[in-house]
Amino acid sequence: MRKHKNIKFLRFSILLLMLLLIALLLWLLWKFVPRASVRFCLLAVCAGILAAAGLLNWYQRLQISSFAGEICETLDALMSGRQPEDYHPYEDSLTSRVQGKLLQYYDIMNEGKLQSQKDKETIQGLVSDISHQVKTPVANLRLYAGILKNPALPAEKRNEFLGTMSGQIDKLDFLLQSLIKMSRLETGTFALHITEAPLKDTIAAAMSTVWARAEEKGIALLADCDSGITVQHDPKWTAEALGNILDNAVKYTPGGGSVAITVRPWQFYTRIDITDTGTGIPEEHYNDIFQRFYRGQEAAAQEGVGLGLYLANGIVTRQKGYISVKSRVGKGTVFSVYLLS
Amino acid sequence: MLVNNNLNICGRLVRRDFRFHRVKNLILILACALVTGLYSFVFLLAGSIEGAYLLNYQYTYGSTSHILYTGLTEHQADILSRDAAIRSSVRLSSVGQLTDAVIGQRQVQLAVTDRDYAETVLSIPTSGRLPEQKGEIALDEFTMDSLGILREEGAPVELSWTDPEGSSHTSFFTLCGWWASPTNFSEACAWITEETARDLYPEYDAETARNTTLGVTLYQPRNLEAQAEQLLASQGIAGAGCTTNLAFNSARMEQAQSNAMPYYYPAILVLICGFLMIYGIVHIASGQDGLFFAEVKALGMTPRQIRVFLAEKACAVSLLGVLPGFLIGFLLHLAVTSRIVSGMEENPALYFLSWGPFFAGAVLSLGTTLLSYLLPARRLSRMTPAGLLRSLDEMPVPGRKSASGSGRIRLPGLAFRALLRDRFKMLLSAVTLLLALFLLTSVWIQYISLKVDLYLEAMSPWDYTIADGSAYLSVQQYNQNNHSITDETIEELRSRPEVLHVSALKTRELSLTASEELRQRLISYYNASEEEGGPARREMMEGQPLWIEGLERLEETGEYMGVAVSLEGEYLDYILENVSFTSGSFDADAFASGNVVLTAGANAAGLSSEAAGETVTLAGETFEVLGSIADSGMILSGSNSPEASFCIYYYMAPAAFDRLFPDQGVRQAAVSIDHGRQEAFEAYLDAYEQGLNRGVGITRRSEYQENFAAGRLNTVLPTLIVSVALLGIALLNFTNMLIIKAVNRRREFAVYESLGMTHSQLQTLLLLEGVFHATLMFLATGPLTFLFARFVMPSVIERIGSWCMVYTFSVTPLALTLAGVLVLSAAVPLGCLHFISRGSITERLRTAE
Amino acid sequence: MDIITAHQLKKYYGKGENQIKALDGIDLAIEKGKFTAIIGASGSGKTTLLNMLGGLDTPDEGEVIVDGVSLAGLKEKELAVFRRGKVGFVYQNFNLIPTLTVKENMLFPLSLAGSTPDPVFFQEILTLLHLEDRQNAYPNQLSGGGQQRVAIARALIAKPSVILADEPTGNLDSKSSQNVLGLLKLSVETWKQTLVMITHNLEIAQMADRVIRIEDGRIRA
Repeated sequence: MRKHKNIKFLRFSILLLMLLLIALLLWLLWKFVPRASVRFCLLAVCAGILAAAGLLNWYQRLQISSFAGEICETLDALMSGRQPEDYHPYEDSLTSRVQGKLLQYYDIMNEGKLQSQKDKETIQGLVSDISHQVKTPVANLRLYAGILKNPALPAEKRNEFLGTMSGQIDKLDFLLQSLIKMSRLETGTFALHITEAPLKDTIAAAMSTVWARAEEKGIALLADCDSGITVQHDPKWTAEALGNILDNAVKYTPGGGSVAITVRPWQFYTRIDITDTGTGIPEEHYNDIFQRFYRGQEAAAQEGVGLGLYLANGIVTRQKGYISVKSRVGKGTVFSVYLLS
Repeated sequence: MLVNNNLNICGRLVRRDFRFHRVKNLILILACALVTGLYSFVFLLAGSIEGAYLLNYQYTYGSTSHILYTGLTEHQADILSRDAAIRSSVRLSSVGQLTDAVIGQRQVQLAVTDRDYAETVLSIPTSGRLPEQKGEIALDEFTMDSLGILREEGAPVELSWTDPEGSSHTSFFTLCGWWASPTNFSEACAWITEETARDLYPEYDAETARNTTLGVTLYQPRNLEAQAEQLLASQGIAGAGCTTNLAFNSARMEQAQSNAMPYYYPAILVLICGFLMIYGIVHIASGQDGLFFAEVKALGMTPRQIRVFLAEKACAVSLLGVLPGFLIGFLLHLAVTSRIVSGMEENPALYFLSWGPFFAGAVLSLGTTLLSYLLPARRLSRMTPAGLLRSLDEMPVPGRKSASGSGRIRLPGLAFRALLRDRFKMLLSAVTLLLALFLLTSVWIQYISLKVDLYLEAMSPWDYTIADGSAYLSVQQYNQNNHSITDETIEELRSRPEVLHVSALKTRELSLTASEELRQRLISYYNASEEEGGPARREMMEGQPLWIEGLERLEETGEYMGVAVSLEGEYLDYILENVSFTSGSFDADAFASGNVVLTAGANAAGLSSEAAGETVTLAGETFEVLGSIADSGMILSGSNSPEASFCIYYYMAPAAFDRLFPDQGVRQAAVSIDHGRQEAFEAYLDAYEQGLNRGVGITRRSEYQENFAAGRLNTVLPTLIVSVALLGIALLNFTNMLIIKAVNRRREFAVYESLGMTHSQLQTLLLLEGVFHATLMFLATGPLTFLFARFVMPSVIERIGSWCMVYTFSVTPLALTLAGVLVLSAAVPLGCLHFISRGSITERLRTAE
Repeated sequence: MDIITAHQLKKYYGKGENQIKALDGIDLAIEKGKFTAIIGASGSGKTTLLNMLGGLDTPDEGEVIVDGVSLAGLKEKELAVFRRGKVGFVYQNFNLIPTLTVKENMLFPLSLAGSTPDPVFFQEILTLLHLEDRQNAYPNQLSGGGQQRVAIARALIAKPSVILADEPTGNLDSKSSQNVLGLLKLSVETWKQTLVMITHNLEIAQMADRVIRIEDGRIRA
């Protein structure tokens, strides 16, 4: 409101000044210029100057209203979802500046739409994945159930088949769990509670999940983490992610090898290295290992669904960190997990 | 389209640039100040020259008023002064005119004190005051000298004067003040109070008394003659005389302008100088600037913003240098103009000071600065940022593969390679140096080509000129009734032991009537043109209204003035040597016999007077014309009377002249002495002068020599200053270039040192580089300057066409400049070496800057 | 969706025998919102390619199309607007303007456009890059790492659609370089920008969504 008042006052005082100056001019002319023709000429010239100034003012207004018109046009176009017509993106004018910002805003709003579309597609993909993966165990179960229906089955065979069936059910269970986690991850329906928590505990939790298997294979499990280090992370989910990586490491390291965890805090991120002496990953596959259901050729014999690293990557990425891998075939692999400090 | 308002960042960058690069910007400001100063100086000088010419005309005219009306009644003066076109007017009521024989042809009016009028004719007493009491009088020094009045307040003055009715009186006054003024040669006033006036001539302010002179100043001093007549006509006044100020005569004004024109040309030189200097200084940091531009273009600075940025920088530098520049210009003006413009009481530098030249100087300097900033930017704006960075790092790729022998390289070879870099900068340096040398050589050769002997031979072929007091200066009108120098004086001079020759010259004016043939001949002569298609001869004399009057009188009535001149000795020899005959030829015996005359009309080809074989009657005697010559009385001192402005000269032997006019005084005498006894003669002259109680003017040879020296300096001074400035700039550019080359290669030198070059080897390298540069400069400028001096200058000298110039070859400026260049090329790199080898080697290798 | 496409880019230096083919017919497409790494040995033409993509250099043959607009058809003025709004550069040699403070350097592209930054966003970046207390210092008072952070902030603050980085960690020690990479990846994720980075470090290239190899001016599969 005050701005309005100020502008009004300014306009009024300028007009007043103009009137005063005109009066002064008239007085000077009448006092000092003797010839009437010269007087009138001077007045005519002054009137001409004022007219030109007025024209300039009118032209400025015209430009401002055309500016407003262009902006409204742009908004109309964007609202109906088409590209604005008169858009010169790289012109150095006020119009382009505003138009550029409007288009940016439109893009951001559009993103949301696109995002929900993508989510739908993802869910569809997930559903098809699930149904595909589930097919095999279910078929097996049906088969065995059918066999077991036969009363004439010998007892050892029955026990064997039952054992296989329970194995398949475990696998099914594991698959479903992973799938559920994956779906939650993709659709973002689980909440990450990011806190500043000590890293050592998280690592300890992760290690505890693979301790047994490592002992079994005779792989040394080492951890080196300063107890004072804290990171921004969700302890539960991060432990799970680290657990998945450790699981992988243990799986692909032959007996007698070692898996070591080292923590190095940097400026923005804290780096957690998980080094194993396993079979290694060829360079071409560095990016592939983080994809859904990928399993390396060497690992065909091993258990697993190919979701572990995918989940770990998803969890870490959601915490605004990232994972990188470096490996030498036959010698070992280093997984580096970066978490925000 | 509403343009984006994103120019604030430009202003901020400019401010920061000033804060961070103080030294460089200070140098630029000084350079701008210098350029502004030079421009202002050039315009001030040219303006002063023009003003001085106009002032000269004004002095000749005698008043600062635009129009002088004489012979008005007081009533008429009142009406006239109220006309709308008149801005102001001054009035003079005269009581009468002094008629002392001694005063001769000068007109001195006895007038009532009017301070305003006195100011316009520069007749305010400098000693004493204007009269306030009865019986007091204030006089000018010429009159006082003529009358022999003592220069003391209260001295008694006795004057004979005539009142407007014609009766003579003699009155007594007491002197209360006097002055000397350059306007009082022909006319002056003697001031008395109103009381005194009424006493002397009670009817001086009566209604019908036509004794008022009105001097008017108009609003628009154009076409003065027409306006003067118009004013009289519009007020219905007839019978008044009117004269217009020569300074506003259009032909004279054009002449003044064309005289001043050559002094404007140095402005172009200043433009070139200034541009090169500022461009050179800005160019020092061209490497860094290029980097800066690549950066900001990469970050998205539009060409418009870059232009505004550069323009703001130029304006800031220029504006900050404006005031110091004005000071520099003013100081130069103060120092130089007073040498060129002489003969004024006030300091010409201060008198001709006006705001116009300063304003023009500031504007032009702003333009020059803008040009030197924006011109290089055009090249920059065409390139992409990456392209710019590439061009900065570029090393000249050798054209052909040089078959290097053993692959070893020695110091001279290394130094020579340095010459191949930055060819543009070297070209710039060489071009400015060449330009400077051309100018300087031209000026120097002009200066030394002006020969004093030729000048003296022409101006003062004889050692001393002794002239009658009334004919001493060329603006004075010779009073032919004076007897200051008589035949006895001549004899006395002849008897002096030091004197070799004395030649006397006498003149007399006669009123003559032309024969019809002569009249037609003269009219057609002056109506014709001097050159094919050029203006008619009489048009060329437009600047001399009195001459035109005389010609018109001849046309209408056939009457004209003739001047009889007696020639002998050195005067006769001089005339015969220096003028050409337009008809007839000289016969010494016939001339000496005293029955023949030589006629002269105009100093041009063609017959402008009586021809050989015709007769002419002078003062009752008939003479035969021996021949006619192209001369207009150039050897005469002083000027003829106004009526004889247009006249024909009749030269005759002294015998003939004395026969016609036995009792005529000597106008001027030429004396040649034995140069070995100059001192003795000068002593005699001093004594003679002091003992004089009447006007005699003596011109000494030494005076001419001084005049020549001063004149010679004046001819070359403006261009000399500018060419010295240009030379300074060229040397500055050269130094710049050396500095840039040395400083920009800090890294390179660090590499050399890290590879094992000792400090003294580095010194030798730089020294050799400097010497090679100097050699290059010499090769670029030396031969061309030599050829310029040898072949171009003679034609330049010829075109100037001065009669006292003889082409003289000289390469002194070249030699001195090259010596300077050599010194610089040795000193500057070595000086830079100290700066370069600061810091450890690794530091120097690391810094990218 | 491809935000940048290049068709048959060619760039030659010199003539005849001494001709150097910096780029010899490159076709590529950069996907929007992804991190693309360009790898190659030195002299393989990576920097030249990056310059072309950002409009800092013109190819001898071929064209670059950014967001549907061909760069060859743009005039100098339009190119300038393009460079300051659409693209953010992070260069190896920092290229900060020495006469402006850190804050002014960061806001330079915005000042050129005549706009002011979003104060909240500006504060975020300052905090993230640990530059709050260095706002009014001049570039020569900062360490190498500090200057690099300022350069990154400058590239990010105008929220350009594309960030082009030429070995941004080339002059930095390993600690700083890790931080720089982390930050770039972070911003790309958060604000959906496209990042094209030149590196010769395979480790860094791992983090990218896509890797392009350049050898002798050509793309190797």
